[in-house]
Amino acid sequence: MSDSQFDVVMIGSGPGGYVAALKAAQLGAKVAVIERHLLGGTCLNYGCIPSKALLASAELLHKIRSASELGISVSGEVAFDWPKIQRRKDKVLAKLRGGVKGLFMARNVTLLDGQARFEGACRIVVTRKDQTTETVTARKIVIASGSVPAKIPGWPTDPEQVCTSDDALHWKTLPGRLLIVGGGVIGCEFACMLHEYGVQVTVVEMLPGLLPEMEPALGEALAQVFTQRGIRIQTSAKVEDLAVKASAITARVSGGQVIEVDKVLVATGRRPNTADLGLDRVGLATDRGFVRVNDRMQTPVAGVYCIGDANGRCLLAHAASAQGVTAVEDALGHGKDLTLPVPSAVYTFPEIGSVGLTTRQAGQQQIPVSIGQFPIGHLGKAMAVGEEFGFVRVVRHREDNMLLGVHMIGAHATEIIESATAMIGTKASAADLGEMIFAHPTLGEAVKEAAEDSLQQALHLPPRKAVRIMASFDV
Amino acid sequence: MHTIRLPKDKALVGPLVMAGWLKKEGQAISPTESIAQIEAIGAQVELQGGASGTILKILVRPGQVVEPDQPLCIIGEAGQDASKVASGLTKSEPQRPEAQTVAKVTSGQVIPILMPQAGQTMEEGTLVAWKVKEGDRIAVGQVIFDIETDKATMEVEATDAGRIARIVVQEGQVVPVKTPVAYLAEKDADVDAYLAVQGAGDRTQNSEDKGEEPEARSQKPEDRRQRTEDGGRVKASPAARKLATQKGVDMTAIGAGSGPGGRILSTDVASAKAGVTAPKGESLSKMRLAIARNLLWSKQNIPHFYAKRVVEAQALFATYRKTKEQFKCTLNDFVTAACARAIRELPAFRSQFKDNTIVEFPAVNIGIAVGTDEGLTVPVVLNADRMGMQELAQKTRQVVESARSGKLEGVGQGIFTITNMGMFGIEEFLAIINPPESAILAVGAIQETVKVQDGNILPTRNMTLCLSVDHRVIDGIMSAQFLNRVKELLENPEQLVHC
Repeated sequence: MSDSQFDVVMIGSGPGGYVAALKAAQLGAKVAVIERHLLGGTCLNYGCIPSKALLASAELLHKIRSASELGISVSGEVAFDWPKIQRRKDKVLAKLRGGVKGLFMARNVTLLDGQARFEGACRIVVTRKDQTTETVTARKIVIASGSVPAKIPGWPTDPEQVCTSDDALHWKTLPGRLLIVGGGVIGCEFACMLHEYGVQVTVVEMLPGLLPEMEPALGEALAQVFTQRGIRIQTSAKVEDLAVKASAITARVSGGQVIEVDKVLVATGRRPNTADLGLDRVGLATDRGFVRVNDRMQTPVAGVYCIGDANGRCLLAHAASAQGVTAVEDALGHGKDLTLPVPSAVYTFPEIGSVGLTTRQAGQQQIPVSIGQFPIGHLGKAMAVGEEFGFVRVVRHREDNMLLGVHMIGAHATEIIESATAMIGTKASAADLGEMIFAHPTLGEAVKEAAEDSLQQALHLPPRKAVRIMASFDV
Repeated sequence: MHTIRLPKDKALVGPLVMAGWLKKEGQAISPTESIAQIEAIGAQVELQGGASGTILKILVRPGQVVEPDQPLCIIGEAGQDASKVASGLTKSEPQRPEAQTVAKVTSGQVIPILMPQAGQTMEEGTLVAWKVKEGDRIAVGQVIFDIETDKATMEVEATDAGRIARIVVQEGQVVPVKTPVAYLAEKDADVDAYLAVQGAGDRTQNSEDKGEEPEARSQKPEDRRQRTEDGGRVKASPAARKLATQKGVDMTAIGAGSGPGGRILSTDVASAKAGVTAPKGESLSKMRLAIARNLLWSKQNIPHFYAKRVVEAQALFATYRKTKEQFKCTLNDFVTAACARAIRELPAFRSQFKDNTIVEFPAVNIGIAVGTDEGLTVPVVLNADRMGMQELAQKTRQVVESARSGKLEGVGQGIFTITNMGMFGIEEFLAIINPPESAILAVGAIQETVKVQDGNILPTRNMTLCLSVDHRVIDGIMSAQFLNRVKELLENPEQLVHC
């Protein structure tokens, strides 16, 4: 095999591509990864990691400001150093990029810098920054090119005025007033973080609640916290018009209200990053840019796979990694379908963790369910550490008890949800979860209690009240 | 007619679930009578009727998630038709906007490809191999997959043209006839929409699932094997163990559970029968069913009798050793050749009992019993009496290999079967006739022994042949003639090699 011939080539080095590359190498394949920008892709450079670094400082700030609740007095002004916070974040990113590079070297994965373009089903031309090209051939190709933030057509393109999360994570200075368009995960995380750094934040969401894709009560609870803190939220609302002046940006929201801000952050979603790959050269059609795949991540073109954001199945880093492993296992003859549940995590404070079926989906799909819920504030640990906000909700199948979904908001929810993900992934029942021994005192105990409540067996809740209500009727 | 709705009430802290109806359709209700139970967070709500009338139509089922103001049932005078009101209600219900990252594509035409019914008795078939994959375009008449029934393996041709959008039955799965095995559609999303309408995949566990495969049994033996690990520990959930103890269910008897890796879940225990010694049940493959049916019929309907003859195999063994390189033959090929010769000479062994007559067949077609992982199969070597040793060996090898890979040759044309357990060290055994044939020869292992000749003890080798015959066709004297002729040929194997 010559230097430009590989068993598997990944296009993109995000959490899909780099994990797939390591897996393929572990299975003994000769592997190359093509990356046109930064190693680690969106997750490492423009998504998960930088946002968490900035949120960590914001959350500490929030805690220091509420330190008196735990009997700590902080004298003098609590200040933060934005450039220093940014430098710390950049250091974290550099360290992680180095880590990925180190793993590549340890497993002899070849990294090719440049833009990938299909020339045939197993030939890819890589165009480097200096416009020189190299052609590589591969038995199997995995498209892992990810996604980019969606922009709103017709709106200003100057990132100093209207920007996306890509820009906002690397801001040199903070705006005074910010309009966030979109109350999904990205919008909520930025709102939570920037509010703590003193930015006056307004969130406008077109749908009736924040986090519209998740269990409705989570978005409602978060909206309640945000509003108390002074973040302005407008749901079922749309930015009708945007007027950019030298001094400020004026946004007209549906209903006629006018908001004046210094910057606008568009967080309405992400679109697939597949336009530059020359997919038409191999006859690969896309569906609004997404490359459709089956449960083994196979595209209609033999030997070509697509994983992560680019296939549009689930735009989450950990889904991309799992899909990457599935794709290369199939490519190297160990194929199996990927059908495991994918948890969602929102890193606001309080955090949100969610996995499986929501009550809304249960209603839409007419699945008979029972629901259990436990307030985190009832737990000893929650009171002791002063983290009483939030709840865990468990959705189980009404007939066979199977755990269908677990949804929670509260401190450390993104960590605690892993226990529920593991249980749902092993097809456990609510009784299985309820019977587990959870360490005491922990916040995770709420998961066990909520599972028990779904069976009406929670011990730390009073029995459900018997209430009589008269139905309403119409003609 | 009135529509009874869930009221907006402070006690109704959502999410709310319809726990159950206390009244049925056709029953009368009064305003203060309780009609249903609703589960709320922290409360068990009894819902009173609010109005008087007869329940004409119930609109929500137990377990359904409900919201304040949602219509629950329609009441009126007994005998009124509520279907119009009901359909009006479901249409006018405000739809929540679909908050999906990926927009649903408008539904195009979707054509299911079905497991065909090949023959009137076929109830289910095994999908052996796909000849196309997802994304392929197929034309009418193109072979798209192979199936196996209890009778045969066959190719299935497409009756519609289009693009294979989704394959839902994988290789090795058994599904009833007329079950969709794949879907033709231009866009994958159309299939999702189609399946949603069909009500498939309604147990979807997460938003990423793309509709579950129809229930299908896998024929791979490892899938059905009971998972016990490290010292026979059964993989089971704690709740399953507890329930099993309560019910007195033996977990090892349940077999593989429905959880990942065959883990036994409480639902598996719930459906298992109690009893510590409960035997392990396993539904039969097509092949095992056919074996069961044929052999039971044979034992019940054919009057078997048996005759045994020991053959001195010293010369045979020596000849085999000498010629096996040249002819690439096995010991069994010598037995086949000897039987072929004897059958040609004794027409009774080419005859079958049929409707109170005995039918004689001209061709000496010999079946060779082959054990495979799935069961017993009998490929047939046609006209075995007309072949030299080399050709016979080559032909036998070919039909046996085909049988092992699932393709049976000469089905229904055999007139005699040879079954050999010598390679397993079995000294002698009695076989069941393979109907409609009239005889079967069971061949035992060649064993070293001694013989007394002229007062001297000499080392030699013996092999035992046991013949099972249909007494309606073959009598004792004929079976003796046959065995003696076969013995003569095997003890003088040069006659078999040079002919």
